Amino acid sequence: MKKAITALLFAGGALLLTGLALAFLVAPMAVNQKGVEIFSQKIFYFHVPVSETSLLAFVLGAVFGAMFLVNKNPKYDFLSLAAVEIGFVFGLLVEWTGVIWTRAEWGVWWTWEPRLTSYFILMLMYAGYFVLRSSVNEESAKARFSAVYSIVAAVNAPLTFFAIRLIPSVHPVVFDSSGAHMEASMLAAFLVSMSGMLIFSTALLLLRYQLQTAREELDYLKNEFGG
Amino acid sequence: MGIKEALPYVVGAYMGIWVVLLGYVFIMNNRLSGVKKELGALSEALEKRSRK
Repeated sequence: MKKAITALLFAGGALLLTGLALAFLVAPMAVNQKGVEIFSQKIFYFHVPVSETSLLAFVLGAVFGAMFLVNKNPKYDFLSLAAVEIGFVFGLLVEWTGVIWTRAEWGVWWTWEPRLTSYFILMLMYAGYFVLRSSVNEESAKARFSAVYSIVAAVNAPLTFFAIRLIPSVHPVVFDSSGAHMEASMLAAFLVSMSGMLIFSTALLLLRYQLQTAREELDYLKNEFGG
Repeated sequence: MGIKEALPYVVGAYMGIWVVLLGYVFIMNNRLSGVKKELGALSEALEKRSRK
Protein backbone atom coordinates (compact mmCIF):
# COMPACT_ATOMS: atom_id res chain seq x y z
CA MET A 1 0.00 0.00 0.00
CA LYS A 2 2.86 2.36 0.89
CA LYS A 3 4.36 1.93 -2.60
CA ALA A 4 0.99 2.66 -4.24
CA ILE A 5 0.55 5.78 -2.09
CA THR A 6 4.06 7.02 -2.94
CA ALA A 7 3.46 6.38 -6.66
CA LEU A 8 0.16 8.27 -6.53
CA LEU A 9 1.77 11.16 -4.64
CA PHE A 10 4.53 11.48 -7.23
CA ALA A 11 2.14 11.08 -10.19
CA GLY A 12 -0.25 13.67 -8.74
CA GLY A 13 2.62 16.03 -7.86
CA ALA A 14 4.09 15.73 -11.37
CA LEU A 15 0.72 16.49 -12.96
CA LEU A 16 0.21 19.47 -10.66
CA LEU A 17 3.62 20.88 -11.61
CA THR A 18 2.83 20.29 -15.29
CA GLY A 19 -0.51 22.05 -14.85
CA LEU A 20 1.27 24.95 -13.18
CA ALA A 21 3.77 25.20 -16.06
CA LEU A 22 0.95 25.09 -18.63
CA ALA A 23 -1.02 27.72 -16.70
CA PHE A 24 1.86 30.19 -16.54
CA LEU A 25 3.83 29.42 -19.68
CA VAL A 26 1.27 28.27 -22.26
CA ALA A 27 -2.23 29.45 -21.33
CA PRO A 28 -2.89 33.03 -22.41
CA MET A 29 -3.72 35.77 -19.95
CA ALA A 30 -7.45 36.19 -19.33
CA VAL A 31 -8.92 39.51 -20.39
CA ASN A 32 -11.87 41.28 -18.75
CA GLN A 33 -14.75 43.06 -20.52
CA LYS A 34 -12.73 46.29 -20.66
CA GLY A 35 -9.91 44.47 -22.48
CA VAL A 36 -7.60 44.60 -19.45
CA GLU A 37 -5.45 41.51 -18.74
CA ILE A 38 -6.21 39.80 -15.41
CA PHE A 39 -3.11 38.10 -13.98
CA SER A 40 -4.90 37.06 -10.78
CA GLN A 41 -7.04 34.73 -12.94
CA LYS A 42 -4.03 32.35 -12.82
CA ILE A 43 -5.24 31.37 -9.33
CA PHE A 44 -8.16 29.65 -11.10
CA TYR A 45 -5.96 26.73 -12.26
CA PHE A 46 -5.58 25.43 -8.68
CA HIS A 47 -8.53 27.14 -6.99
CA VAL A 48 -11.19 25.27 -8.99
CA PRO A 49 -9.45 21.85 -8.76
CA VAL A 50 -9.13 22.12 -4.95
CA SER A 51 -12.75 23.25 -4.78
CA GLU A 52 -14.10 20.38 -6.91
CA THR A 53 -11.90 17.88 -5.05
CA SER A 54 -13.15 19.08 -1.67
CA LEU A 55 -16.81 18.75 -2.73
CA LEU A 56 -16.12 15.31 -4.18
CA ALA A 57 -14.38 14.23 -0.95
CA PHE A 58 -17.37 15.37 1.13
CA VAL A 59 -19.73 13.37 -1.09
CA LEU A 60 -17.39 10.38 -0.84
CA GLY A 61 -17.41 10.79 2.96
CA ALA A 62 -21.20 10.51 2.88
CA VAL A 63 -21.09 7.45 0.61
CA PHE A 64 -18.67 5.68 2.96
CA GLY A 65 -20.81 6.82 5.90
CA ALA A 66 -23.87 5.23 4.29
CA MET A 67 -21.87 2.05 3.60
CA PHE A 68 -20.91 1.92 7.27
CA LEU A 69 -24.54 2.25 8.35
CA VAL A 70 -25.47 -0.64 6.06
CA ASN A 71 -22.50 -2.99 6.70
CA LYS A 72 -21.31 -1.89 10.19
CA ASN A 73 -17.80 -2.53 8.94
CA PRO A 74 -15.39 -0.13 10.73
CA LYS A 75 -13.26 0.24 7.60
CA TYR A 76 -16.04 2.36 6.05
CA ASP A 77 -16.03 4.61 9.12
CA PHE A 78 -12.26 5.08 8.70
CA LEU A 79 -12.69 5.79 4.99
CA SER A 80 -15.51 8.24 5.71
CA LEU A 81 -13.36 10.06 8.29
CA ALA A 82 -10.42 10.14 5.86
CA ALA A 83 -12.59 11.54 3.04
CA VAL A 84 -14.16 14.21 5.26
CA GLU A 85 -10.75 15.26 6.61
CA ILE A 86 -9.30 15.52 3.08
CA GLY A 87 -12.39 17.48 2.02
CA PHE A 88 -11.89 19.83 4.98
CA VAL A 89 -8.18 20.40 4.28
CA PHE A 90 -8.96 21.10 0.62
CA GLY A 91 -11.84 23.30 1.77
CA LEU A 92 -9.39 25.44 3.75
CA LEU A 93 -7.35 25.80 0.56
CA VAL A 94 -10.49 26.84 -1.32
CA GLU A 95 -11.13 29.53 1.29
CA TRP A 96 -7.47 30.64 1.20
CA THR A 97 -7.26 30.96 -2.60
CA GLY A 98 -10.80 32.33 -2.83
CA VAL A 99 -10.17 35.10 -0.32
CA ILE A 100 -6.93 36.05 -2.11
CA TRP A 101 -8.67 36.10 -5.49
CA THR A 102 -11.54 38.16 -4.05
CA ARG A 103 -9.06 40.71 -2.71
CA ALA A 104 -7.12 40.85 -5.97
CA GLU A 105 -10.16 41.10 -8.22
CA TRP A 106 -12.90 42.75 -6.22
CA GLY A 107 -10.74 44.78 -3.85
CA VAL A 108 -12.23 43.26 -0.69
CA TRP A 109 -11.21 40.26 1.42
CA TRP A 110 -14.74 39.00 1.82
CA THR A 111 -18.21 39.53 0.38
CA TRP A 112 -21.43 37.73 1.26
CA GLU A 113 -22.21 36.52 -2.25
CA PRO A 114 -23.88 33.08 -2.77
CA ARG A 115 -20.76 30.96 -3.45
CA LEU A 116 -18.59 32.35 -0.67
CA THR A 117 -21.47 32.26 1.79
CA SER A 118 -22.62 28.73 0.93
CA TYR A 119 -19.04 27.41 1.05
CA PHE A 120 -18.48 29.12 4.40
CA ILE A 121 -21.61 27.42 5.80
CA LEU A 122 -20.39 24.10 4.37
CA MET A 123 -17.06 24.48 6.17
CA LEU A 124 -18.78 25.37 9.45
CA MET A 125 -20.90 22.22 9.14
CA TYR A 126 -17.84 20.05 8.59
CA ALA A 127 -16.03 21.70 11.50
CA GLY A 128 -18.99 20.38 13.50
CA TYR A 129 -18.22 16.86 12.23
CA PHE A 130 -14.84 16.90 14.00
CA VAL A 131 -16.35 18.38 17.15
CA LEU A 132 -18.89 15.55 17.13
CA ARG A 133 -16.22 12.88 16.65
CA SER A 134 -14.11 14.19 19.49
CA SER A 135 -17.05 14.57 21.87
CA VAL A 136 -18.34 10.97 21.68
CA ASN A 137 -16.24 8.38 23.50
CA GLU A 138 -18.04 5.16 22.76
CA GLU A 139 -16.57 3.88 19.46
CA SER A 140 -19.66 2.40 17.78
CA ALA A 141 -21.82 5.42 18.70
CA LYS A 142 -19.09 7.75 17.42
CA ALA A 143 -18.98 5.92 14.07
CA ARG A 144 -22.78 5.81 13.79
CA PHE A 145 -23.34 9.48 14.64
CA SER A 146 -20.48 10.54 12.36
CA ALA A 147 -21.88 8.53 9.46
CA VAL A 148 -25.31 10.14 9.81
CA TYR A 149 -23.74 13.60 10.19
CA SER A 150 -21.54 13.12 7.11
CA ILE A 151 -24.61 12.24 5.04
CA VAL A 152 -26.62 15.24 6.27
CA ALA A 153 -23.67 17.65 5.81
CA ALA A 154 -23.00 16.40 2.27
CA VAL A 155 -26.37 17.77 1.15
CA ASN A 156 -24.59 21.14 1.23
CA ALA A 157 -22.05 20.07 -1.42
CA PRO A 158 -24.39 20.16 -4.45
CA LEU A 159 -26.10 23.25 -3.00
CA THR A 160 -22.73 25.01 -2.89
CA PHE A 161 -21.89 23.84 -6.41
CA PHE A 162 -25.16 25.07 -7.89
CA ALA A 163 -25.43 28.24 -5.76
CA ILE A 164 -23.88 30.52 -8.39
CA ARG A 165 -25.80 28.78 -11.19
CA LEU A 166 -29.18 29.30 -9.56
CA ILE A 167 -28.78 32.59 -7.68
CA PRO A 168 -27.47 35.76 -9.38
CA SER A 169 -23.86 36.21 -8.27
CA VAL A 170 -20.68 38.13 -9.10
CA HIS A 171 -18.71 34.87 -8.80
CA PRO A 172 -17.53 33.77 -12.28
CA VAL A 173 -19.19 30.70 -13.85
CA VAL A 174 -16.64 29.12 -16.20
CA PHE A 175 -18.41 25.83 -16.83
CA ASP A 176 -22.10 25.68 -17.63
CA SER A 177 -24.49 23.63 -19.76
CA SER A 178 -23.07 25.22 -22.93
CA GLY A 179 -19.52 24.07 -22.09
CA ALA A 180 -16.27 25.62 -20.87
CA HIS A 181 -15.87 29.35 -21.49
CA MET A 182 -12.14 29.44 -22.08
CA GLU A 183 -9.52 28.81 -24.73
CA ALA A 184 -8.29 25.28 -25.46
CA SER A 185 -4.85 25.85 -23.89
CA MET A 186 -6.48 27.21 -20.72
CA LEU A 187 -8.77 24.20 -20.58
CA ALA A 188 -5.78 21.86 -21.05
CA ALA A 189 -3.92 23.51 -18.14
CA PHE A 190 -7.04 23.24 -16.01
CA LEU A 191 -7.67 19.57 -16.85
CA VAL A 192 -4.05 18.61 -16.10
CA SER A 193 -4.24 20.41 -12.73
CA MET A 194 -7.62 18.81 -12.00
CA SER A 195 -6.27 15.31 -12.73
CA GLY A 196 -3.20 16.00 -10.58
CA MET A 197 -5.36 17.20 -7.71
CA LEU A 198 -7.62 14.14 -7.90
CA ILE A 199 -4.67 11.71 -7.94
CA PHE A 200 -2.88 13.58 -5.13
CA SER A 201 -6.03 13.62 -3.00
CA THR A 202 -6.53 9.87 -3.58
CA ALA A 203 -3.04 9.30 -2.20
CA LEU A 204 -3.85 11.49 0.82
CA LEU A 205 -7.08 9.57 1.38
CA LEU A 206 -5.26 6.24 1.39
CA LEU A 207 -2.52 7.60 3.66
CA ARG A 208 -5.08 8.94 6.15
CA TYR A 209 -7.01 5.65 6.01
CA GLN A 210 -3.83 3.69 6.68
CA LEU A 211 -3.06 5.92 9.68
CA GLN A 212 -6.54 5.42 11.11
CA THR A 213 -6.36 1.64 10.64
CA ALA A 214 -2.97 1.50 12.38
CA ARG A 215 -4.28 3.67 15.25
CA GLU A 216 -7.29 1.43 15.76
CA GLU A 217 -5.07 -1.65 15.76
CA LEU A 218 -2.82 -0.05 18.36
CA ASP A 219 -5.77 0.95 20.55
CA TYR A 220 -7.18 -2.56 20.29
CA LEU A 221 -3.91 -4.15 21.37
CA LYS A 222 -3.52 -1.69 24.24
CA ASN A 223 -7.04 -2.35 25.49
CA GLU A 224 -6.80 -6.08 24.98
CA PHE A 225 -3.49 -6.57 26.74
CA GLY A 226 -3.60 -3.67 29.16
CA GLY A 227 -0.59 -2.00 27.50
CA MET B 1 -4.88 44.76 -11.49
CA GLY B 2 -1.66 44.31 -13.52
CA ILE B 3 0.97 41.62 -13.20
CA LYS B 4 3.11 43.61 -10.75
CA GLU B 5 0.22 44.33 -8.39
CA ALA B 6 -1.35 40.86 -8.66
CA LEU B 7 1.90 38.89 -8.36
CA PRO B 8 2.01 38.77 -4.51
CA TYR B 9 -1.58 37.48 -4.44
CA VAL B 10 -0.93 34.79 -7.06
CA VAL B 11 2.32 33.70 -5.38
CA GLY B 12 0.63 33.70 -1.98
CA ALA B 13 -2.24 31.56 -3.25
CA TYR B 14 0.02 28.93 -4.82
CA MET B 15 2.51 28.94 -1.94
CA GLY B 16 -0.34 28.33 0.50
CA ILE B 17 -1.57 25.34 -1.49
CA TRP B 18 1.85 23.70 -1.76
CA VAL B 19 2.72 24.33 1.89
CA VAL B 20 -0.57 22.83 3.12
CA LEU B 21 -0.50 19.82 0.77
CA LEU B 22 3.13 18.91 1.45
CA GLY B 23 2.74 19.72 5.15
CA TYR B 24 -0.26 17.38 5.35
CA VAL B 25 1.70 14.57 3.68
CA PHE B 26 4.62 15.15 6.08
CA ILE B 27 2.40 15.18 9.19
CA MET B 28 0.42 12.08 8.16
CA ASN B 29 3.59 10.20 7.26
CA ASN B 30 5.22 11.15 10.58
CA ARG B 31 2.18 10.07 12.59
CA LEU B 32 1.96 6.79 10.67
CA SER B 33 5.64 6.05 11.34
CA GLY B 34 5.10 6.82 15.04
CA VAL B 35 2.07 4.54 15.33
CA LYS B 36 3.84 1.74 13.44
CA LYS B 37 6.86 2.05 15.71
CA GLU B 38 4.58 1.82 18.75
CA LEU B 39 2.80 -1.17 17.23
CA GLY B 40 6.13 -2.91 16.66
CA ALA B 41 7.26 -2.26 20.25
CA LEU B 42 3.94 -3.49 21.64
CA SER B 43 4.01 -6.66 19.54
CA GLU B 44 7.55 -7.35 20.73
CA ALA B 45 6.55 -6.83 24.38
CA LEU B 46 3.58 -9.15 23.95
CA GLU B 47 5.75 -11.80 22.39
CA LYS B 48 8.18 -11.60 25.31
CA ARG B 49 5.30 -11.85 27.78
CA SER B 50 3.87 -14.92 26.04
CA ARG B 51 7.29 -16.62 26.10
CA LYS B 52 7.44 -16.25 29.91
